[in-house]
Amino acid sequence: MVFNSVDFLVFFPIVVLIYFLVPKKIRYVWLLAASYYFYMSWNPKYAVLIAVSTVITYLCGIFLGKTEKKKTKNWILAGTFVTNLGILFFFKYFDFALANVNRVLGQFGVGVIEKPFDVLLPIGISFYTFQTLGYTMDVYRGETAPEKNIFKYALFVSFFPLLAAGPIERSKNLMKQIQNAHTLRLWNYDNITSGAAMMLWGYFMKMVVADRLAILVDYVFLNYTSYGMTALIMAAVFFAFQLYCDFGSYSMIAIGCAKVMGFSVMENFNTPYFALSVKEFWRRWHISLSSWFRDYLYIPLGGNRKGKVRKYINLMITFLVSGLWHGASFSFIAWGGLHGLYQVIGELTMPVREKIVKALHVKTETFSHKLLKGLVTFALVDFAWIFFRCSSLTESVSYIGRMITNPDPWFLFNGSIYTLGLSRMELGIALISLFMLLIVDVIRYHKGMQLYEYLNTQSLWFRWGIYIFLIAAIFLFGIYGPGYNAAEFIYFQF
Amino acid sequence: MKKNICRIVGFLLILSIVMFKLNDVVAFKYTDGVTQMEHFYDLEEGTVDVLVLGSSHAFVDVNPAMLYEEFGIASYDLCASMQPMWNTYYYLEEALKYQEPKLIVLDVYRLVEAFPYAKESKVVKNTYGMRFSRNKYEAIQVSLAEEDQGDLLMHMVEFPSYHSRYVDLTPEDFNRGFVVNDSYKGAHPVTEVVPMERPEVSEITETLEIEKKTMEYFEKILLTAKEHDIPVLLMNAPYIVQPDDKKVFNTLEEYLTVQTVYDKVSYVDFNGMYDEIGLDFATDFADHNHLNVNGLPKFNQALGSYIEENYELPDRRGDEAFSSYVAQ
Repeated sequence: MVFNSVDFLVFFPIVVLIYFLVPKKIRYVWLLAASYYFYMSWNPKYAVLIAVSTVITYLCGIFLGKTEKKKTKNWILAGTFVTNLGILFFFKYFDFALANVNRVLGQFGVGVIEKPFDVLLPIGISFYTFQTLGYTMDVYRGETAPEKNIFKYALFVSFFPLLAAGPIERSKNLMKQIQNAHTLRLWNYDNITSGAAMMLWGYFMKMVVADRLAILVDYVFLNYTSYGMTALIMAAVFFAFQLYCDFGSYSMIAIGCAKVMGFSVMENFNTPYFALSVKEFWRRWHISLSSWFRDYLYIPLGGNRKGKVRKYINLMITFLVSGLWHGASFSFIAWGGLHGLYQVIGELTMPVREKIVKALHVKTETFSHKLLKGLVTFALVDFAWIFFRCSSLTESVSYIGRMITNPDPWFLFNGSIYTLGLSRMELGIALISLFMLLIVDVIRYHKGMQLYEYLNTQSLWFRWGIYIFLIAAIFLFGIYGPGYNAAEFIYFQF
Repeated sequence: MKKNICRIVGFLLILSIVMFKLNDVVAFKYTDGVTQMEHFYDLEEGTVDVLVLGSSHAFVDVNPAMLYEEFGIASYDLCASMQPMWNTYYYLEEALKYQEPKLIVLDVYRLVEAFPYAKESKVVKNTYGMRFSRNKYEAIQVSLAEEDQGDLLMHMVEFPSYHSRYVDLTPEDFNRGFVVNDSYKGAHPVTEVVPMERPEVSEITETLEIEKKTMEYFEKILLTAKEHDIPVLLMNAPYIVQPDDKKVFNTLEEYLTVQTVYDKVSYVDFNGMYDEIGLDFATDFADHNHLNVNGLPKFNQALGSYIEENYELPDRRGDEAFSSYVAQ
């Protein structure tokens, strides 16, 4: 069940209520049951898969704990990685791999290999696979003690708020909290209200902003051959915000759900579009994934400790893999590669850029200079998002080609922008809600506070007014009702 | 601890008030099926002697004001545009929870319904006037095709269907609950004058089978009336009858002659009485289906006379309890 569905709105309060009432020692058992129920609501068969991954990595942890020999440890770790990544590879990349194998075979005139069956991507597999492999690495490195209780471990793997699309948690954070779940004081006013407030903001981002922008974005991307620079740039920019709101909202709701239940889950987005460089962007966007890649791929590869050239290679590898993680297609790999290139080129050109700035006597600590860096970074990231959104590499190139070679500034002024799926009023609502998002992110950026934290510093009438306003806005302007399916979250496909 | 509970309760209270008001603003206020049922609940107990059921043929043509003024009949048009028999049945069940009519006048137009599921969105929307009840639940359930059953809950809570009406708001939308019943006992006469051609279907004697589901619920209506011992006057209001429609009405007549279960059921087809009523096809019709304000007095005179001659109904003129029927 998706977060923005009636099913979840019934499921969650019931689960929370019972969770609050069961004996302390049973809490994690109830949550485990609820999590598997949640997972099976997509497809009961998937539960087998996640159980298998759970058991394999659990055993890995146990065996690692039982031996001191480096060599044995290496074998255990390698075996676990191969099996789990193998499962992930099969479900995620089988079709892609087969298609490419067939393409190559086709070049040699050899017959294509038939697909024996349809491989459906189990929801959340990319996320929980990484979460479990992170755990095994932590145990291997001696940073975490192996969890002896398989049910507590299973809860760590399947914790329902994070199940479908993260954040990808760590053993040192979530696992520890699960182990201490019986000590939590649950009827906690602050946890419940702030968790609910986070969920509320998440629902606003998803239903009012993301799903509304999606209408225009889908319309233009579907018919991109009919449009020129203006509409294509507009759709690309809107997509940047749609993706942020869609994915960010999922994380927000997930973190909020966890908070209501007394768990503190890591932040996944920190005003990403305020980043002043692509490098910084990756410290603010999908933080749980980028930090996972840093800790479990980039650093094991050597990170920046083996010289500049090796550093660039490691960066490229990491980002290409990240691209691949996102999807089984060349356009995702291209997207990842672009981000790797951005950073490599960024570092290579750093001395030159610093020289120019000095020569021009640019005041670097000013808002204007930071704005410039921010806008350039956004442009680079948004350019890459085109590869992310288009359904293939060819289409991405074609889209960009059209975007660059068909200037049509009049499009912006002759009323055409209201023909892209969103009427004038709807476009107005979209822009106003984006402005609200801007304010909330500015508060986060400058005061370091989430929306609810900031509202807690304000008067009651203001706080309540904002919350009631948000609820009313979702009621009126949310994208739901007859004709709409509870719009899936974009990151479910990963 | 206590402070926190007070806060939560206080917040939820204010939230509820705001949300209910917001809901009132964007809710459907269709006068062709929603307001009839909605305002029915506001009636004083025991003030409906004649319950008129059916489609827009009934709520446009049957005029409670005229019936009261000329004949002292206290009637209410509990009808809805395009309403299929299965929803009429639930309207009846719901009505009988609140009123005790002495006569049911059932417009038979929708017996011509050819499909078990009308793709017409109005069919479900017309249940929105009903209160949260088993009748409403079943009415929606029976109106939705198999593949749409997932929408049942959505229609029960209603607001997903109309929450985005913010683009269509009119002053009326802000008056819900404040302005007194603006439709007179469910009736909505029309003023357009469109010359029509007199239908030539009287010669048709073939029959066309009534669709199974329509027939099932038609009989349920008759059964309910029988159980409450209320006579039923089946009525076919004057309109431009199509040949296939005529065949269906022939089937109805045939059915009535052979059935022996329902003894207090009569049928009047006003389409065989155009001249007796004095209808002028050049001036009395608004469209193929409805009379206009010129035709109304003629038809209601005929209907009222028929009721007066054939049923024992109290004359409610002068009765304090029925003062709401006096024309404003």
